[in-house]
Amino acid sequence: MSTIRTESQQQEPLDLIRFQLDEFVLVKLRGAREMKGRLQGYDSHCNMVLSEAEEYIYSAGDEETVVKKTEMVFVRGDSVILISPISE
Amino acid sequence: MSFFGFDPTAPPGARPNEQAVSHDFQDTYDGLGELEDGDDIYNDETFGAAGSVGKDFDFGSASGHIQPGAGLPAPQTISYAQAAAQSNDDEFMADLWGANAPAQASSDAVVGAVTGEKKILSLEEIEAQLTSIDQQQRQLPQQPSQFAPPPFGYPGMMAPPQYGGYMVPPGGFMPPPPGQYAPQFPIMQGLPGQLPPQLQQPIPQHPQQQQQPQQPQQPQQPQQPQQPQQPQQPQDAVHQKSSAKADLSQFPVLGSKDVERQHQQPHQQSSEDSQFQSQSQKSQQPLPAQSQEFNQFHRDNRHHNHHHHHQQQDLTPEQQERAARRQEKVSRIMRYSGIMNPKDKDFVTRFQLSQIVTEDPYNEDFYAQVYKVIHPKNSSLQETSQQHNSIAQAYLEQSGHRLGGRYKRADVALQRMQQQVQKAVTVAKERPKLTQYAREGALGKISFGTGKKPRQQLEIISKAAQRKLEKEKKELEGGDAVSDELGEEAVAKKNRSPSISAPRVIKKYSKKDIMSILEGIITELMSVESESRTNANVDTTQLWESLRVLEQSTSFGEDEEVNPFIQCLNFNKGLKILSRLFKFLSREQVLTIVTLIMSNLENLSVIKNGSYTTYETKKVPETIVKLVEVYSMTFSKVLMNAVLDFKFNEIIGLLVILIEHNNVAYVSTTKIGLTILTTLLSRAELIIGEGTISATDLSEWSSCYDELFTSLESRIAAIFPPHPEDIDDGSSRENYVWQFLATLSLGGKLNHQRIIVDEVRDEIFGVMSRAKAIDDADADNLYKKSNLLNNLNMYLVVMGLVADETEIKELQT
Amino acid sequence: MLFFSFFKTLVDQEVTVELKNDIEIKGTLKSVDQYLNLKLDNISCVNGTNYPHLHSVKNLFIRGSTVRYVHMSPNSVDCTLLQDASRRGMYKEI
Repeated sequence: MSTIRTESQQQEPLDLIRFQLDEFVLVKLRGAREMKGRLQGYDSHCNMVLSEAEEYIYSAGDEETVVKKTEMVFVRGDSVILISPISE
Repeated sequence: MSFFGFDPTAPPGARPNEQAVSHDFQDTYDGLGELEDGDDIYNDETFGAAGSVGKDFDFGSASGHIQPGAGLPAPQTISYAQAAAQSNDDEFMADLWGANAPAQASSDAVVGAVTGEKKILSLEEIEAQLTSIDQQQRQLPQQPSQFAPPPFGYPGMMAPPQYGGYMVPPGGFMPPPPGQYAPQFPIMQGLPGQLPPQLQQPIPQHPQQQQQPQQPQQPQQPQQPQQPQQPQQPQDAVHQKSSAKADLSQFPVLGSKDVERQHQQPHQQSSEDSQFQSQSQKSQQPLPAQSQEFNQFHRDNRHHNHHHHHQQQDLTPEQQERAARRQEKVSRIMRYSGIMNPKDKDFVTRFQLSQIVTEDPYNEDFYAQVYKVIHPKNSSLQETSQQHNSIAQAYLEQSGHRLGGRYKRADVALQRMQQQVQKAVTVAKERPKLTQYAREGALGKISFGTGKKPRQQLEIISKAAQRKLEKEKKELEGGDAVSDELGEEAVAKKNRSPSISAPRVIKKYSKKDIMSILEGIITELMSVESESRTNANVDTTQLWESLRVLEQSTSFGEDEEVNPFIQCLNFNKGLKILSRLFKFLSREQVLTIVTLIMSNLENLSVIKNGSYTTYETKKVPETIVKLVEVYSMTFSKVLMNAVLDFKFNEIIGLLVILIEHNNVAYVSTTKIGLTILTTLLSRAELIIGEGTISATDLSEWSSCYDELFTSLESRIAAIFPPHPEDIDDGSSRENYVWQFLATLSLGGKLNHQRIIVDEVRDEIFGVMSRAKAIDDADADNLYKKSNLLNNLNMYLVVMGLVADETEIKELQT
Repeated sequence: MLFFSFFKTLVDQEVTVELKNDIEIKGTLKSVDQYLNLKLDNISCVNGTNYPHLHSVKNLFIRGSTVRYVHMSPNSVDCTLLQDASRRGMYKEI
């Protein structure tokens, strides 16, 4: 904790994710998937834990988008493409 | 790879300078970069025989010998000075010369590079270098005899401390031998093999083992693919494989000095050889341990090669063919083995080590450690681990995590509110005069009431919304159409606002800005918390400043941005840290914050969007309902605790500010707004009940109450949402609306109570009929009936009444 | 190391691991390492009809890199703590 930075210091990309802690994020994932949920935790690999999450699986054809709900989920960072803040 | 401070790739001439220097890990790495520059191309010369290590090199047995004496601690147990003292690097020198001899240009280059980089050579060293060049030139034809005896090297390699020190990095998982040898192989293949005739000469001459030392082939073996003798090279590989293990075991494990003496004998066989020996000995005596260790590997390697040569004549054609295939395979495998230099490998190793070794295992494992303490039932080892878990304990104590760590209970704010109101009611009942009046009036009103009148349609909007409307109206009608009473009030208040004269720097905050401010607050908070674990008097100035409470502290002015701290309270995490935050603030700072909140109630989204009146469906949307729940769990509780510390006149002040800055009628239609009013009122009434309030304070209180009541009058029924089951379906023991009415009635005089009863009469009967509707046979829901009536009676007892599902009676005491 | 620490608190709890090849395996988490490799006990394949070869398997080791999601009960996660731990993680020097 002694290494805590002051606010004036340069913001890093991961700071934007930090701002979203306890807020809703949209995570775009490999395999035409997206996950919306409240960000409960993350690390520098973009591993994440989301609560109140909804997963959307898109398919190329006429099939409908699959939506799966999950209350608490760990998302492994190597699937993550982007993380975006959203309002619920 | 060079963990212990030596550079295997540097030419021998460079080494004496490092003599007896003790290296730590960092030094090693730093120095290595400079030493290596430009010298890598000579690796093949330096490492001569590496190529023939082959894929079957037996690391296992080698390390098996070594491990017992040279485990991880080895690096610390022998100093480099010690190692250097034991060393004898004859063979190393001999090897170098042998390798360099054919290529005059490269040997010159070696010296050049060496002298260029290491200018501080001792006279001895320079002499040795010059001599060596001389020797190389002179001895070119006799080169075979210059090679050191393999057994010589072998015992050296076996010396556990050196080997272990060299081999095993702190992490213990790197296998240096392949790393050391592999890179050289392909490079050497690229070199012109200039000694084909000599290569084969010694073999017939020295078939016996003790003569092997004089065989020159080993360093040159890698060059063989380019030579006419190619078929023989595969044999080497075969022999290496078949003989390596057995041979290793044949060699005695010996201390370096004695062994060296023994093995020097072969060298004496030629006078040139011995001359060379003495020279190289002389020049190498001061070599640091690193080069010695390197030599040991080198010797070991060479030793294997000797055996191959020794046996290769016995090979059948099939064996040779097999060996050739094997060799081809090996060379394919080894093709990219030089792709990383030792520096790269060192870096990778350091990186890997840094991931395994952590300075601060507790912080690394912060989540699990604290989790174990908070949720003891989940951890079987909790009892023991808790003893050592000071960080987790401190975290809990200082941060007041959640509701108090392991002792958490459902400490819902409303329950405490209930208690407070009940206490206030009890206190009030002990004042017989009030009870007398209340009973009379209340009974009268209810007994004469007939029929249900429809709920009044009220236009209740917040002041903020009103200002917005006015503004639009002004713009529409050209400016001065502010005719309604409330509008004038708002304008008047605007003029009263202190910030109106202050220079206006309007600052707009995006959501990201607010998030940034919030995370800044949390960062400061965490740092204060962590500091407070070691220091009782923490400086909270920075924390206070990060809150920005004093920035844009008014809610007035159409264009002015709402204070950022108020905006922070629209987010879960802002609410969740409140209790942690308030621990580190002074009473004055807490009062400042609460004052700010009271003047900004309508700017809280939980109030602004929390009234059913603003929705067509008369229902508050789900997201706001969730936020309201979070408020009940966090904000309301914190406010409750804060109010306990406030003085009577401060509470009056807060109420006045609330009334002035907000539309009370609107605020009262929101759950949080009503809860805040109840908190302030009930606390004030408890203080009055203590009977120590001065007459001035009391009169101030009564005018404050009058003002509050005036703004609520004729709109009291509106505090009940149109769907009563939304706020009380009987499943809980709390009903914030009845609590508020109880508190309001407590503080009022008889006429106040009458007005209230009159306005909410329908609601009272409504609850009674809902209670009646629950079937007595429905055991599962029977508790709801009593809950509904109990909540209603919380209000009725203030007036000495009690209701059941059919009638309202006088309270029997 | 945050999620290594995190998964340690889930040991002996039931989790559902979804792999990158869409297999979903439900089981009791028995152990985890710093690569987030997982060991599961008493497993059952959620979408098992597609993967009959897992029928007879009772416990297994999952290489961390093949994991897409791990679903768990919200009751076994301390959200406030996890958020704080995430913030700490960002400030720690490597």
